[in-house]
Amino acid sequence: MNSKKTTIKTLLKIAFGLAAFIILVIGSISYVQFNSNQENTEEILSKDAPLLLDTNDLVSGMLTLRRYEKDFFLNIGNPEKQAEYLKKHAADVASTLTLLDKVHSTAKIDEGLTDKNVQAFAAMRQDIKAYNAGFLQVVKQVQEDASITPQQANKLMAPVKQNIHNIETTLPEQEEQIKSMFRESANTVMSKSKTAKLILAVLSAIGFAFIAASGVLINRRILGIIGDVARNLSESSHQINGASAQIASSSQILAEGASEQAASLEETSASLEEISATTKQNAENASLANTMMQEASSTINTTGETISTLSASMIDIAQASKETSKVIKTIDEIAFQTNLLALNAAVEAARAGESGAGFAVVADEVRNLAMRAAEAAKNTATLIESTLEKVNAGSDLMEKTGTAFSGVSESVKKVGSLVSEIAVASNEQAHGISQVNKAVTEMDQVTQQNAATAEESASASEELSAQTEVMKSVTADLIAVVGLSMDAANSGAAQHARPEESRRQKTRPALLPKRAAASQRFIPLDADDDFVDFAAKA
Amino acid sequence: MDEQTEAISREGKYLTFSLGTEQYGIGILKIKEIIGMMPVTALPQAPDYLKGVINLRGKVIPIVDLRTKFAMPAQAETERTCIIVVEVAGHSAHCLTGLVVDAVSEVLNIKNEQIEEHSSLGDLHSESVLGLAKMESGVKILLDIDRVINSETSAALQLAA
Repeated sequence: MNSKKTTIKTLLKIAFGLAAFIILVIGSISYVQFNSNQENTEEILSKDAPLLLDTNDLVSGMLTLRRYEKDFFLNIGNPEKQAEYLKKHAADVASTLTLLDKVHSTAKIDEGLTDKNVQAFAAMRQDIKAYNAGFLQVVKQVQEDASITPQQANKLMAPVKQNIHNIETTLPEQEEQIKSMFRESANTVMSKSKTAKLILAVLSAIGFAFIAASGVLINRRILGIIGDVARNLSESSHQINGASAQIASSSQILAEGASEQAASLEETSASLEEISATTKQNAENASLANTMMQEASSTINTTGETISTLSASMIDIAQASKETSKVIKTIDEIAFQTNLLALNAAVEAARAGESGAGFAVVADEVRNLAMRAAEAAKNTATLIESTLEKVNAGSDLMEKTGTAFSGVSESVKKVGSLVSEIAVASNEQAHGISQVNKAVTEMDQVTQQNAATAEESASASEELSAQTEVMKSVTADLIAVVGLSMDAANSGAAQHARPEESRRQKTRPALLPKRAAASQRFIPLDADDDFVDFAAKA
Repeated sequence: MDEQTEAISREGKYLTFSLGTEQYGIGILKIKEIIGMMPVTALPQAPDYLKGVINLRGKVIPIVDLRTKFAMPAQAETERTCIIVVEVAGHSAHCLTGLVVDAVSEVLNIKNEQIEEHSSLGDLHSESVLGLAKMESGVKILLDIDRVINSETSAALQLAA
């Protein structure tokens, strides 16, 4: 699964990084080599070559010196020429000494020469100085003594002849040594240059091989990735085409739905207005009912007071009845006593005999009256008793009625509060309904917008479809650019059920053998063959 | 003749009273006075029918409970309970005796023909009962009060008086 992580970016990074690294390595090694060669060459140019030249000059200078010496001696008798050659000789001595100093100092720093060489140059200087001193002495003798011949003069130079010989032997030796040293240095530089050339060639070959190999690898890799992308794009464009068609139809349905919704919302709005009116009526009725309930409550309170008054009156009636009963009892008592008196009178009349006959009649009448009084009292007592019973029953009923009325009063209060709550609730409901109405209006607007949006999305999906066509052609171009055939891309699209495996096997069977093996471990090739067959049939 | 006399003597005015559900009658000439119930002073070691004595305008008279005397169940006094004061023929002289009755009814004039002989009733209290008066309001038992308050009682009564 690493293939998914290695993007083109990283691949390019790796490739260019590798190339840059290789170039850097080659450049560094080359630089080091060339630098060394340059140092060696500089060594040769700054020390060995000048030393050699100077030594050559020194040899020629020595020869010139000897020629001027000889010229001086040959021109004895001609002072003008002598002066001229003497002057030239002096100049040559000075230049030779300067040159020798230079060579000496150069030889000191030249690593190719030994101390012996340096000492040789030092000895040479001594010799030159000694020769010059001897020559100048001879010159002096020649100028003082005009009779000296050139041969004599030449013989006069004998004491310093050894010095001259020393120089003439030492100088070629030194020259030879310096020459050989120069040659060695040149050989060293040459061999180093050869080595550098070889290294450069080898490194360049390796770098070229490396970069070429990685280029090929990365090329295939990138082509594979782009091929995948192209196939996916092709497939996606197919799918997007289908999806855009679906979106178009969905948008159509959505638009229809939105218009239906708008119609429903209008109906809802009308219903809501009706409900609102009803709710307002409810609220008004509830407040009216509340007022009526309050009136009923006050009526009930009045009634309650009346009932309590009535109850008190009943108690008074009962009391009065009891009083009356007492009076009746008294009357009954009196009747009884009167009866007794009448009977006594009758008894007396009977005792009186004939004379008491009239009295007996009176007594009988009195007794009758007493009996009637007693009867009346008895009847009255019965009546009063029944009245009392009725009053008691009335009292009980009154009590019950009072209780019932207080219950009714409480109920009325509750009903009143409920009714007022209903009124409040109805008002709130009316408010809520107006809000709902507002919301419905907003919903209506939104639905209209939805319908418009759905139409827009339908047209957008058509545009998307057109764009998908463009994308298809672009994908085809891309596939062509990548170098895949459209059939391969289409087969990739057809096999999108297992795009990973098929792609790997088609594009990079050799490059990623390990991964292919890994994929085979999970999905056997037999199954894939079946799939290829299926794809061929399809 | 004797029977005639008896019949004549039975005719006359009777004071009727009630004891329980029965109505009784006593000859009006035997009656001295009718009074309401009043406090009775009980006597020690007296027979059970002798309730005690009362002071009637300075005279102490014995009181007989007729219910007890007639072996009827006792009853509490009511407002109608009265005392009938009668003159009983005793050994020496007429003596006054109070009879406690449930209620006094009326004075009736009973004819001879309304009175039935009580012989048909047998021996039961034959001595005390004069006869049975058949009235419109019902049968009244007419009592011979002298015999009701007989010798044995009258002795006690005299002792009490």
